[in-house]
Amino acid sequence: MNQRTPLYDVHVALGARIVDFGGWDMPVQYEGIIPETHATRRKVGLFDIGHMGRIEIVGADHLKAADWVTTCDVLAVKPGRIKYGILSTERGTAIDDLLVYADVDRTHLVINAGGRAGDLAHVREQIRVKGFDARAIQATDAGDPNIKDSYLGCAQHMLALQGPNSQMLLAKLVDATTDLSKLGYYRMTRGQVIGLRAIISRTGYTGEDGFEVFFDARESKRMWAALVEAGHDLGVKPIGLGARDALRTEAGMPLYGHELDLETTPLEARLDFGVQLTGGPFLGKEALERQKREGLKKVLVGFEVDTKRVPRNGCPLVKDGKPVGVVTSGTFAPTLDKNIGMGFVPPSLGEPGQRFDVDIRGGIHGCTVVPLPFYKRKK
Amino acid sequence: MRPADLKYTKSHEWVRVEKDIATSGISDFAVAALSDLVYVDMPAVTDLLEQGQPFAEVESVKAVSDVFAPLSGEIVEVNEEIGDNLDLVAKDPFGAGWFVKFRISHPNEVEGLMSAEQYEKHCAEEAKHH
Repeated sequence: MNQRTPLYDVHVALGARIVDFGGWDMPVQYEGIIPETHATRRKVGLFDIGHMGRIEIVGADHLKAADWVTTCDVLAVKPGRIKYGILSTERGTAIDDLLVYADVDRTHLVINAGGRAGDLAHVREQIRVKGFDARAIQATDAGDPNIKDSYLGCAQHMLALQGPNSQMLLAKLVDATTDLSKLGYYRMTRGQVIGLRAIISRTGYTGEDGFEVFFDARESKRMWAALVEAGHDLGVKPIGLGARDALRTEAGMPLYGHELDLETTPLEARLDFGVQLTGGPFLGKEALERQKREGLKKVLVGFEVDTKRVPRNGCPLVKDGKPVGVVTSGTFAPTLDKNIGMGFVPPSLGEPGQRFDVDIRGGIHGCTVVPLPFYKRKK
Repeated sequence: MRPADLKYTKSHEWVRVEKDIATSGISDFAVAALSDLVYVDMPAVTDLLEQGQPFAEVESVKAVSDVFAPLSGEIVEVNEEIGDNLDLVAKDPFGAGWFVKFRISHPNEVEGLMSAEQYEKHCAEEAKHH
């Protein structure tokens, strides 16, 4: 039996098509992937991201613990800031990718749905091994023995608003002391939404401006309804995982299990901005330093194809008839009206303008490497 | 209600048989299930079809799907219009959105296909499981 978010019935009532995603029954689309992608880029999209995991690290050593398990230099991060990073193995490969929220007295980790159990076990084990004075709470789980010590004191749910109208929408529902116009990109604040305590961050997975909000999971339906109502004249639409995947691919953002996995390092996935080798030690740092010195064997590239066929995860990449790599993500890009893909190739083929072929179900089609991201919003 | 003069397959193709020539495409059910069509990879005239074997591929944003031959035969015409206008398939799958016309080689294969009424039940059954 798959897990469901508290909004499952709401999605079904909206006519969503439900699919399995990492053990969760989630809406893949409501109206359609293309119109939902456009709605997010042009107006505002509302996303149920309750499947994503959240770990809160509390205790005197919360910063040290978060710093050790991630590739981020958490000790150098000022409260209220958010960093993208990797939960790394000793080999420097990715257990998961995540956002690290430096709160005033605790650290929040936002992780992937598929990583919930494994990430938590890993973080707890590292806290134990290193002897940190810290505890990791699964903030999505009402049954966590320390849930009362989480910021909200209860199991939390998470929704995202993404798109140019996000701020106008959310501003209608926050308390008087929360000024979203002052909340910069990759910043978080404690505030209230529809009178409920919440953590609000200016983050997302679409390449648009937008917010992610954590709040009491028992209020999920009321929060969803309030956002839909407040967004009515701003063009808000519910957005499924199908459009979410197209949006993040256009924005060149990695999806764990595709661009990152236990055999791939963040340097190979060209996520250097999420790896702070200048700070103190962290698990996997030595391996990453060594890889940086010795050079990469594979690198992630973005490419466009010469065909109307769509490259898909797993399609071989070939050069002069010889296999050189594999597609990790590919889609029709609704915003760009072209077919795009990401995949790993040897560094010698990694520069924009270089050419190789993709094998799509036996058909060989030319590709050109292009800079990532494919899509960048106008500021 | 779907056209009563057509025959249907379990894999959601339809076929109209007129003497020894058949016209085929995909059903409204297939269109709804695929959603967000972006491309159809078509066979060529004179290609041979074998009943139950794939002859075209439909790309949607999310996935690629095979289209299976409802009957065996040889292709005599391909609908070139839909290449640039997939709306024809999305909006009129049983009419302007047809895929191919072909000369039937094994007329008795028609007996294994579903009537509109049988296909209606088949779709209701599949919808329950999705």
